[in-house]
Amino acid sequence: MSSNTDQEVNERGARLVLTVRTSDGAPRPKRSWTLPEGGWEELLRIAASEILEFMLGVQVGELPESASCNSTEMTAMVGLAGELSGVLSLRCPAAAAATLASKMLGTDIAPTDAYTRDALGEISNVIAGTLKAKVPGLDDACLLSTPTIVCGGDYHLFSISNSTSVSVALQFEGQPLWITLDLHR
Amino acid sequence: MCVLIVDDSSVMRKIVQRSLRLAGLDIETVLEADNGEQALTIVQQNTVDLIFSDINMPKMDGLEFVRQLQSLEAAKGIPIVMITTEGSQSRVVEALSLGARGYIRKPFTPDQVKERIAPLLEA
Repeated sequence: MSSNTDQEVNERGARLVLTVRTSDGAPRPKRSWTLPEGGWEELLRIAASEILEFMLGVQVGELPESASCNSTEMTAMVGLAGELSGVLSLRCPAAAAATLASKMLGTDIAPTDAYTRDALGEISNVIAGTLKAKVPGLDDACLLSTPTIVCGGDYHLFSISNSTSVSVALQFEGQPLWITLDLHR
Repeated sequence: MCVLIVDDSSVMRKIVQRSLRLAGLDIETVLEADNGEQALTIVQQNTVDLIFSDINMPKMDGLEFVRQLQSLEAAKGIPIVMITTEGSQSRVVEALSLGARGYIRKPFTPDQVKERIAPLLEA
């Protein structure tokens, strides 16, 4: 069955209605979800801070705007598909990823250890899950991919066109983390 | 008690294992699998008392694992607790209808793990 999709989108506190049209052209309401007041950036900040504090047991704060994102050496990416599609990515230096893994496992983990990559992927997965669970009506209508990890600093990530991108820069114990949500429209 | 933890994330397997120990459960053996396919083999070759399984995994996901587990004689009566990031109601409901006995949403505390599995172990 072929289908196409219409969306009504407003940025803040908006009600989004997704309509699936079947092959005979008749609109069939499928799902509706509501973006909470504050929008995606606030939601991302809350979800990321909550999860980092819960899973690492540390205080999470804002990173000064002057902090450069050039020192990233590891990136974890989790895809979102369904009624919301896009990518959530978490970038940080390898040392920050190792601290994150060490905190999660309660033992010292080296930056080059496979657990470090795995921990970064796992935490991005949980942040993405928490983010969508905070959007009423969306949790059940959006699936997550298994995480992908990129190691090394010599690369750039580009969002596809027609996307909305929000980022938050956080720190824990002096270690920086950049979390970005790219949503496809 | 022998516990099987099925998750494609080695970190999450260690976290579940650590949570079970911190919760004070008497665990003798912990077996690990990174997908449902591997877990099915382990169940057939070992005596497992409790299974924790992720839902979202490559190769064979948690739902298919639970589905196939039900047809194994060796798996009869083993309680299965699903671990999910998404809390996606339909997938959790599907897992429960296939035979899972409970679920835990990530992130979780050792106390939450203990609370979820205590009734299963009593039974």
